[in-house]
Amino acid sequence: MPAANSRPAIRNRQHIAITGLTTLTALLFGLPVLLGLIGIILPASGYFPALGQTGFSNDAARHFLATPGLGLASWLSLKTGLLASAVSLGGCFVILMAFSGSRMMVWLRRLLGPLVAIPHSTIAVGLVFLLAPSGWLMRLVSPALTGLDQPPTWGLVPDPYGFALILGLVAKELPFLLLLSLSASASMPLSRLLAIGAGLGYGRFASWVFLVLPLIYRQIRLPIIAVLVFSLSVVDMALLLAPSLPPPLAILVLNGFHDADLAARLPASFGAIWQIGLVLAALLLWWIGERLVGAAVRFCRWRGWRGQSADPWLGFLSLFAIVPMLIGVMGLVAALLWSFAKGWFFPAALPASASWLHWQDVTSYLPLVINSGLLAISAAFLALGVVFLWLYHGQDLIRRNRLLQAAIYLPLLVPQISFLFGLQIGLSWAGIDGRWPALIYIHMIFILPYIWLVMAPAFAQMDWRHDHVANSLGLGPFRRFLRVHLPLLRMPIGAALFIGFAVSIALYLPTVFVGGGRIATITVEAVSLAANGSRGPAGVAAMLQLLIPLVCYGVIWLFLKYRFGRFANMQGGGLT
Amino acid sequence: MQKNRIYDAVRCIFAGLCLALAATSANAGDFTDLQKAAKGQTVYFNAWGGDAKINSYISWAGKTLSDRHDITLVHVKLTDTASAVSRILAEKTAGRNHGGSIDLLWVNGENFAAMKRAGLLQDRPWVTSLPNWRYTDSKALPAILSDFAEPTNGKESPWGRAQLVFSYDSARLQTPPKSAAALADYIAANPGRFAFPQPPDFIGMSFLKQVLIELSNGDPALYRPVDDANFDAVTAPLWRWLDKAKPNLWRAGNAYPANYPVLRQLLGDGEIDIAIAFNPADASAAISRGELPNSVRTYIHDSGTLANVHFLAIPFNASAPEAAKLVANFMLSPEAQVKKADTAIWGDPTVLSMPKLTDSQRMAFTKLPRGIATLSDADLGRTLAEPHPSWVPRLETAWIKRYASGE
Repeated sequence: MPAANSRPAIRNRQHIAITGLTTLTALLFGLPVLLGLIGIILPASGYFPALGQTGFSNDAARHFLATPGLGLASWLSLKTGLLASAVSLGGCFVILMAFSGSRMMVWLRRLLGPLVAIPHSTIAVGLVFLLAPSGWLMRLVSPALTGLDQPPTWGLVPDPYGFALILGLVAKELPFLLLLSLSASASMPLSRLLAIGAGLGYGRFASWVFLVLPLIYRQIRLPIIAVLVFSLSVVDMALLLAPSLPPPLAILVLNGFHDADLAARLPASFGAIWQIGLVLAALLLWWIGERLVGAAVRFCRWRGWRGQSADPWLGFLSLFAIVPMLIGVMGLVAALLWSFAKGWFFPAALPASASWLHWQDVTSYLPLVINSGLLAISAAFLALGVVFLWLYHGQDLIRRNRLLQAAIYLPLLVPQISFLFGLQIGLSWAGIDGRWPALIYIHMIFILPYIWLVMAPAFAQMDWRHDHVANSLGLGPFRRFLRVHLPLLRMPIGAALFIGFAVSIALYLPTVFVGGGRIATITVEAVSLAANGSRGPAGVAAMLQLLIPLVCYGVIWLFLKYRFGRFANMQGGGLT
Repeated sequence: MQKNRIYDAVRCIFAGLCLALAATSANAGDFTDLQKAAKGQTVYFNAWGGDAKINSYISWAGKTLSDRHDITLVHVKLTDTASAVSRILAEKTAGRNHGGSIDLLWVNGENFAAMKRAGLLQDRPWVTSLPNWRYTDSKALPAILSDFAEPTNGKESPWGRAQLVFSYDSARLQTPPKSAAALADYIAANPGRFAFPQPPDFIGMSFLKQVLIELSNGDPALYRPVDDANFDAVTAPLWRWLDKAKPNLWRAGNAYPANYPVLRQLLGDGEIDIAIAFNPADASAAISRGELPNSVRTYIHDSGTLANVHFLAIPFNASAPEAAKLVANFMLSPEAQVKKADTAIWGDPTVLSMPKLTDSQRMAFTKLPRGIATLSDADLGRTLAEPHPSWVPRLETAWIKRYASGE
């Protein structure tokens, strides 16, 4: 029969198309990272023709392994990375449990955007200024309470154990995970799940732990891993907050890449591979932790623990969880004050005089702000476009194919310092480094995973009955997409775009390496100023940087309200 | 006979004049060609961007160049000069011999030596053919021809001078310690009130070199390539000094500031009593921006302090080498150098030779206000030469091994 013959043919054609899509996607996301890794592996094995090194040897490895303090540096990275990720996740969950559905959450939610978009170094500067012996907290109580007119010689920041770095990382990563969790839980029947829990006699804490958190965790698992990888290899924040005797591994490696002796790039390349090894070790430990926590939760559930006694502790814990966010906010307030300060010396609680001095250069920063904005907008919309293509044409494929998933997340899972130097060589070879398309592309692959993460579950839960109605009214697929799907998906689209903007704006190392210094962004400027202790100008840069996400947030919010306001009733399956 | 000799002499002089004239006009012609080629080009100037006043000086230069020569100067703000060297190296690795991403680089010492060794600089010397080179005098300031004892070979153009100076808050400290030995006593008597940037930071390393030169009374070995046989013996006084100072440094030597702006911030915050900078006018400029209290003053050690020159270099694969040379020439002009020497702008001492300037040009320099905390030229007169560059990496490794490896 002809029909029986044509069906395998169609399936075959589909199969080819799907394989093509798979390969293309893998290439799109894997290529820059693979290129970067090759550019690291070759020098690490002694091949670097530009320096006249063409023979393969293990010299680079030997040199790197002989680095003084390597063991301690690796241990410091492992410790701070794992602790920072665990505390960020724990804090994020505690805040969700304690404040979900309350007014407090509305307030916290407003803080998230700015905190996610601000670069790590700005938070670090704020933290140092807050907690240093000559810092703001000390100034507020001196000399009135302490009797000190010069700062004490002991200090909390930076501390020899890495706690300051952990605190700084948590101040950045907790809001990030919270933002993602909120987006993820938006498409979950939260109140119904919690009502079921309560109906079965479980306390609020236990209902969350047994019913909701596992769902959220499953959805944000990869970003959590990304946070872990980032925390293990963070550079800009570590420069200001981490102990430096020895510094964390990533800084040790970066010092090699920045050594005036060019031959130091070879051992540093091996160090970049060592860093990947460290990440793998951390992932293994995290995986073991996941099993242990999972087993503990299952054990409690099996014992029939209702957890009512745990609820009062929730409020107490949530106080601690909010501290890192408060520190982030106070850092921003300090940056604002510094941008207007002229002469602010210990023990004055406020600047001696306000001045526009630092704001006089503001026009020279405007092109940088425009660059940042253009970059964020084009990368985010491009990523959204790609995600829509996948959602309509390959969603199941990506869901099922773990390799493909890994390819999407690869740029987030390989430490940045381990592939950016190699990527720089690759892009330079192709002659496209320092050009807009290359930079937008790299920004896109860094933000696409997050956009996918927000859009995919929302798309899966879209109420298709609206689509069927529109179809029977005679609307074609494209008009249905425009007139029905987009309005239905407006909330996740808004959230996804906003997360995309925020991540793009905060992206530092990739912008430096790929932009080649030819495309400068306000973030690159802010990091450079912050690393060099110029608090006033760094404050101005931080304020300008905040401007972009705030404007984007405003525009998205107004657009959603006025363009799609009339669809408000369609929220949450409005037809039923 | 007699007539002949006169005739010969006249001929000689004439020929010489002709040659000289030809040479000048050829130079001038070259330069006009250069200006023509440079028109409309964009120069990506990679320079450390951690200081707001330097950044605004560079943007002033950019504006002037764009008005006069139709050149766009883009300041690529580096946190670390070596990262730009890395980039040039990456381009060489990728075989990009033209159209590189860096046209002009602010550089000196170790980075220049490394670029020279790896062949990352312009092939042909270009500096002495710059018209404004005539205002310099390499006899009076030999450092413009040798960068940390490395001959510049006309491949980097001098931009400014630097000298290590110490700053202190005169409201807290009356008589600052003016030698390495006195500083050691001061640290012992005032625990937690002194710090230096953590090596391998440039200023941190310079401080170590300063102390070593002082304690070893300028051991001649320091001015020859480092020698494994005597490294320990020559450097022993430095390690003794540091071992003694360490427990009484800022944070008991368990943490070091990352660089000199952070160190300056610590002085402004009152956490330390003495800070270090490589620019005599740095403190005055910081006072005028409200970053240091009015009472801050500067001093140098009685035996003198390290001094060197910083330069502008053009990479081998620059996209706009013509415009880059024009920028270097402009930076060397009396006009740009006066502006740079002004404490209110930047306060970086000039590399030009005063006797070679016209009266009005000289006046512009002498009229400059010195800034409240800046020492006079006479007070800055005592300088120490930089040791041979090969000492830096060895000192760096030894310091890290002793104090920063946690071992």
